[in-house]
Amino acid sequence: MMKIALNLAIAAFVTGSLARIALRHQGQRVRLARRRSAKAILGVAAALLFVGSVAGAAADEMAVMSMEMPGMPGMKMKMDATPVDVAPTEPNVVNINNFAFSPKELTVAVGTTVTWTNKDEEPHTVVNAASPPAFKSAALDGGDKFSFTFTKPGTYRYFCSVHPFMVATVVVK
Amino acid sequence: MSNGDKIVTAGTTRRRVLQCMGWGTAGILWTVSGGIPRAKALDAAPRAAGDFFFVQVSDSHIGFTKAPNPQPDATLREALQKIAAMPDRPAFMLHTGDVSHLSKPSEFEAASGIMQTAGLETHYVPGEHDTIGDEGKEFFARFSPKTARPGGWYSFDQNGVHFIGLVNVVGLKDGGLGTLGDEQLKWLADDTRALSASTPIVVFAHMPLWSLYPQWGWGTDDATQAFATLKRFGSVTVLNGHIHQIVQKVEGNVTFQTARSTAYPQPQAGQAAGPGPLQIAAERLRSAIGVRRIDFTGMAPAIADAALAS
Repeated sequence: MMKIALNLAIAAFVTGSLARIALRHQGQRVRLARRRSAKAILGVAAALLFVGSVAGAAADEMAVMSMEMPGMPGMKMKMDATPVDVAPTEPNVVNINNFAFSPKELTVAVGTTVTWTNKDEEPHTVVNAASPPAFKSAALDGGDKFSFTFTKPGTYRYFCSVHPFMVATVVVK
Repeated sequence: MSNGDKIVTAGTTRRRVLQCMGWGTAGILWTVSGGIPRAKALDAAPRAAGDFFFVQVSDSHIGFTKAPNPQPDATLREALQKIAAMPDRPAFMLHTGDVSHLSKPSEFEAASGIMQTAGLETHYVPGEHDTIGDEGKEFFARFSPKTARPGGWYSFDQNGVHFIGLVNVVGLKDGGLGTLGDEQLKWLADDTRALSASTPIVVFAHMPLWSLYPQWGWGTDDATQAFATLKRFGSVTVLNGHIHQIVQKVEGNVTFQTARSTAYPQPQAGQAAGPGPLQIAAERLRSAIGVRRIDFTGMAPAIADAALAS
C-alpha cells in the first residue's frame, strides 16, 4: 500500500508539473489547442495513476497485451490471447493458428470427417506427407476450411506445403 | 556458420539512415567490399563506362487483402514509380518471388500488368506463394524465360557478371526448409564450370540460402552444396526476399542480402508468435517496404535500399 501511495504522489506531482508547463504556453495557443492540452493532461494523469498502481501492486505479473518492437518505433506486435496448444473443443477439428496445426496430434475413429480451418492471415495448405498423398487441400486463405473423411485406419502425417516446417498428425483407429 | 559471421539486422540507427535516403544524388550507398559493408554518398559513386546497375523488387503479394496493406497493387506501382524516377535507367529488374499471394491466375495477370508499366526487362524467380497447388506450373508459364530449365532455374550474363536464378520453393518436403534438389545443384555445377574464378556471381532466389531462422522456415536445406560449387569464385552476391526485411550476412566470399517487400513487413526472427504480416500503423507502412538498387563498379556490388517513404 505504501508503494501505491508513493506512486500516486509521484503521479500527482508529475501531472501538476505538466499542467504548469501547459499553462505557461497557453497564451500563444488558440482555443482548440487549449482544449487539446487539457485533454492530454487528463490522459497523462490517468495513465500515470494506472501505471503507478499496477507497478506497485504487481510489478512482474502485469499482463502484456501488446508490445513495442525494439528499434521499430510505432510498430506493434499483435499478440493472440488464445493459447495455441489448447485443443479445440470439437474432436474432429484442427485449427491453423500462428503457423501451427492445433492440435498437433488428433485421434479419430474410422469414418470421421476432420475439418481444418485456417485462422491465420497467411495462406496454408493441408497435404498428406505420403506419396501419393491421401489428401491434399488447395490454398486455404485466412478463414478457409478443408475437410477430409478418413475411411482407413492408420497414422497420417501431414504438413503445409507452403510452410513445410508446419507438421502434424491424424491417427485413425 | 563460423563465429566470424556478420549478421546485420536493420535496426533503429540504420532505419533512420535509410529514412533519409532517396535515389539519385541524396542518400547513402552501401558498398560491400572485402566483406565489410561501407556507406558513402550516392553521388560520390563513380560511373565509369562498363559499369551498370539493376534494381530488385520482392514479395509483391498481389491478391493480399488484409492489414496492414489491403492494396499491395498500389504499393507495387509506387515502388515502380520510385524506380522510374531514378536519374539513370537500370539495365534490368529482378523480382525475387511471391509475385502473387495465392498463385491464382488472376493475381499473376494483375501483377504482370503492373510490372510491365516499368518498361524494364524483368527476371523472375518464384516464391512459395506462387507455387501453391501446381508446383509453379502457372508461374513458370507466365514468367520464366525461354532459356529456363524445366524446373524453372536459369542464368544470364550482363557486363561480365554472371546471374543465376534459382528455385528453392518447389518440391518442399514435410518438416523441411526451402530446397534446391539434386537436378538443380547438378545444373549449377555445369552452368558455372567454364567461368573463370574472377567472374562476379549474383545468385537470386526467393527463400534465404542460409539458415537465417529455420524455426520459421527461413533457410534452404541443401544450400551448402550450392555454395561448395561457388566457393572458387572471388565475389558471390546472393539476393533474396521471403522475410520482408533487410538482413545482411557475410560468409567468406559470399554476401547474403535479403530485401524488403513491396507489400508489408514481417517481424524480426523470433519476435512474434509466427512469421505473419507485421501489424504496423498505416502511416508507417511505406517506411517499412521498398526497393533495392545494386550498382556494379568492378568486382564489388554496392547495394542501396530505399523505403517508399520516410
